[in-house]
Amino acid sequence: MKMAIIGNGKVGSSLAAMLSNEKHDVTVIDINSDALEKTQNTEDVMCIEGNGIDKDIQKQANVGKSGIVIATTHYDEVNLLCCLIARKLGAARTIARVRNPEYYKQIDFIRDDLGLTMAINPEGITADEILRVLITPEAAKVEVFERGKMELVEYKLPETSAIVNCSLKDVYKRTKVKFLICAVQRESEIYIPDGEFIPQAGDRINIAASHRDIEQFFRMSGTVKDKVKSCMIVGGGRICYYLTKALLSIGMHVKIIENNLTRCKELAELFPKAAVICGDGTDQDLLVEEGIREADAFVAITGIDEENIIMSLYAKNNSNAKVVTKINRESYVDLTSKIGLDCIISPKTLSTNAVLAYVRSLDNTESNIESIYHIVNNRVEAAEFKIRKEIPGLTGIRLKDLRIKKDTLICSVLRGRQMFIPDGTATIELGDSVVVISKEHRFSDIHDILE
Amino acid sequence: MNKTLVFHYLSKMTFVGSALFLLPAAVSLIYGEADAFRSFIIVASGLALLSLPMSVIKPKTDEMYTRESLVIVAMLWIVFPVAGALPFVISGEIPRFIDALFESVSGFTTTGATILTDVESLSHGMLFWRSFTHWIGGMGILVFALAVFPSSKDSLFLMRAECPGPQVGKFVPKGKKTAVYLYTIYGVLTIVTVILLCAGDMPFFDSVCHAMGAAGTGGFGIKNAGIAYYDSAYIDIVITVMMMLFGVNFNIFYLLLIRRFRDVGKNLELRVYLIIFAASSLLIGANIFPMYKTAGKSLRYSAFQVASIMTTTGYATADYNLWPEFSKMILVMLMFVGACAGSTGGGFKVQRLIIIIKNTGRFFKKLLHPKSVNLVTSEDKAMDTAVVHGVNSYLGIYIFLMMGSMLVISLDNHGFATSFSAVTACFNNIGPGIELVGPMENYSFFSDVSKIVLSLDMIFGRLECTPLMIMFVPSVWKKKF
Repeated sequence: MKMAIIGNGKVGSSLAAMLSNEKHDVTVIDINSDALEKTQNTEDVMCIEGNGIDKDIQKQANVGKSGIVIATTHYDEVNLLCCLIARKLGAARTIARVRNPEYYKQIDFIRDDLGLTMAINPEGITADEILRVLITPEAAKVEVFERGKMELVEYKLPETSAIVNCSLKDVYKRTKVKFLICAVQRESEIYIPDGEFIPQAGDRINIAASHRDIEQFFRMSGTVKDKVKSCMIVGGGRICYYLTKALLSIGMHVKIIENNLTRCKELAELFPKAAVICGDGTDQDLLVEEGIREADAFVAITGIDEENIIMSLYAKNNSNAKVVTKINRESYVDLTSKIGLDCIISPKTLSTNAVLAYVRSLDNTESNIESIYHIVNNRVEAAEFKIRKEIPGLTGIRLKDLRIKKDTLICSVLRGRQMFIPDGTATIELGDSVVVISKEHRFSDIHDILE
Repeated sequence: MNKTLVFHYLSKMTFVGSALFLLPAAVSLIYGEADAFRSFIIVASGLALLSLPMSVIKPKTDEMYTRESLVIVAMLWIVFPVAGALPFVISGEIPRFIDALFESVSGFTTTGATILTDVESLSHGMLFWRSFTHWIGGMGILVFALAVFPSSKDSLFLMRAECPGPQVGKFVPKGKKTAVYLYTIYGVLTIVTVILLCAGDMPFFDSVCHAMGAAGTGGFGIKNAGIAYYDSAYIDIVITVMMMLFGVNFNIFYLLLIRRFRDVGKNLELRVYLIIFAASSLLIGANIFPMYKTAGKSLRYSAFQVASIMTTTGYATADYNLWPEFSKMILVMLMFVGACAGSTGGGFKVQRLIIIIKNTGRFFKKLLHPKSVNLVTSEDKAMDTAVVHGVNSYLGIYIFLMMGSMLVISLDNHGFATSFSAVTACFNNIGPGIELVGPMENYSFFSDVSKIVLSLDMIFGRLECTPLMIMFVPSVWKKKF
């Protein structure tokens, strides 16, 4: 498909990379030639220097013939206007990044008039993700599939866990809890484990199960943590706004630490129930004074990656709190997990995934991708497919007789309203919704998983 | 440097190379030339066998940066001409390796300078091979590979290293598609040329060879007398027009295809290119009018020669060695102009000339108004200063390399005009120079050293210096820093 990306920032360039890797014809428009130069050199895309809001520039990028136009410049207004112009020129679909909560609130109200297909709100998505992690404090990352019935949880295996050094076959046999370990990262190697696989302490494992079974799993493996009841947030930006709103609504105690007095006042006015502290989050005395040792969770979401990392390290070493760190630079993610921070949230990756899932779902009409997640540093993909027609060689055949590609795993099936983890005797039927885990493959159709 | 990746590309390309030899082999088969056929098959199978063990080594990472792409391009442009020389030697048609190498380099770099005194003595297969190397070399070996292989994100690096011109861009988002479009436009134009030449009563085989020679702006003929052999005004005109077309930036053809005519009209390089062509043709036509008596005839010869030299093809319909000094001087000056950037032609490129002239203008403005802010603009947009600086540095390298080569060639003691024009003609991938290397002469009398230097010049000129020069920078080969 032909697509245009307006705004070659963090999200724009990572979208350009992902979409061009998926064989789409991508054109990137940006005013800044230095950023373009980099994208041009590393990705197979065409770059055009100029203002994306300019009709002539859009024409030059052939926006009129594009299937999708994605506007991710710094300014919401520019994004919306770009999309409007693109629609006027004949683009089939438009996606705009809208960050301002006031705009986002009423986007449904104006969407049709702007001809907007989708609005992504990175801060909103990020807040949702953080919320999920706080609800399951044992996990480093939680993704939700099949309308919330299945969860995919990333979790670092401690030495005390009951499943360490047993082969998975035995673990599954021994327990009543239905779960599946579907991807394991050991050092820099990634495994899609089979029955013979033996987990070791320090492995980062990804478990698929229903929410209740996940809780049972943690209880069984002896690593259960207390429910999070109080949360300290450093950084009062937009993520903080969305997160606080959600946390307060489920009755959690929230304490916000923010540097800027004006913003503090705004937050205090918005959230009378939350405690708003005006101060520097990197000041360790302040953190102690405000009770970091007693907090159940600590969320570092200031605009600066380095500050977030330092604060989180301090929190990790001085309290038992569940620590969530926001990091935007991809190259930091590896490093931070080495120094013990395991719960990393990247708004960039989250928004990229949201767009990518949408684009993939357009690719095929027969069996749609419902949602898609990249796990283990983007090296493993979990995709949810809806089976809309009989597929010879797949439907109605027992899983152990299926010939599917290497490093591919069918990890859960949703039939009707019932979610289950399939074993070798299970079959996939028409109407099912299936989650497929894969390494080094990019499936856009369920059909592709067959050998 | 990522050596395994470079090696991986080389092995892939060797395989492509071996496939290329099958085409001339088929031609030899049709004409029943057993010796030529055998030599092509030997080289093809040799390359295929070589690429098999090479393909075992898998690249450790697929990180490719500018230096890897430059090294890949440079290595290919050494390996391919050497392989291309082998059939000449094995079949015994050009027994000496140095001569065969010169001929092969001249083919791939689309120079068209030959060491053969009697072209017509070659077999059909060999004649076809010579012209075919022009066709492949014109658009580029790697661009061909990019069009054939599945797309990768390194494509732009490779294209930039091989395509001539100060700025190389894509006209569609995918590098592979760009390469496919380039070769499609190229192929269609070549076929049109073949048809037009056949319509002018040129035999089919001759038409194919000459069309490929014109398409790559190469200039290998298959007759001793060159195009003059056919002595037909129609053929002259067809080839003139076609050479000019192949000297145009291929982006222009793409813009025409997608009907962006206004952008074509705005293209400054195209306008300057046509103006230089028209002005030179008229001046030379007026100058040689006394020799040919009719305006039509003198214009026919002058336009053909101007197009041939400017696009760096090197075909000849008349021995311009016999023309007045003024005409010869214009032709020599045209040798330095060259064709448009992004075409199959060589030379310094009209685009660079425009940038240099504009930059000089800016320099003078700055002298008069020291505080004025002036930018080099192109089509109403400010040009990137890096590009302007690049052009200036290129001019420096260009002059330096040419002077060095002339110094070596002068050891042969063949007179100033011959040495000067031989280097100019080889470096700019034209072929014929003046005096002893004129259009009706050849390069066989040079010493082996000179032939090697001239061969290197041709590759330097075709790749615009940088890829080959980077090979001599020690730090490129070192592991760290």
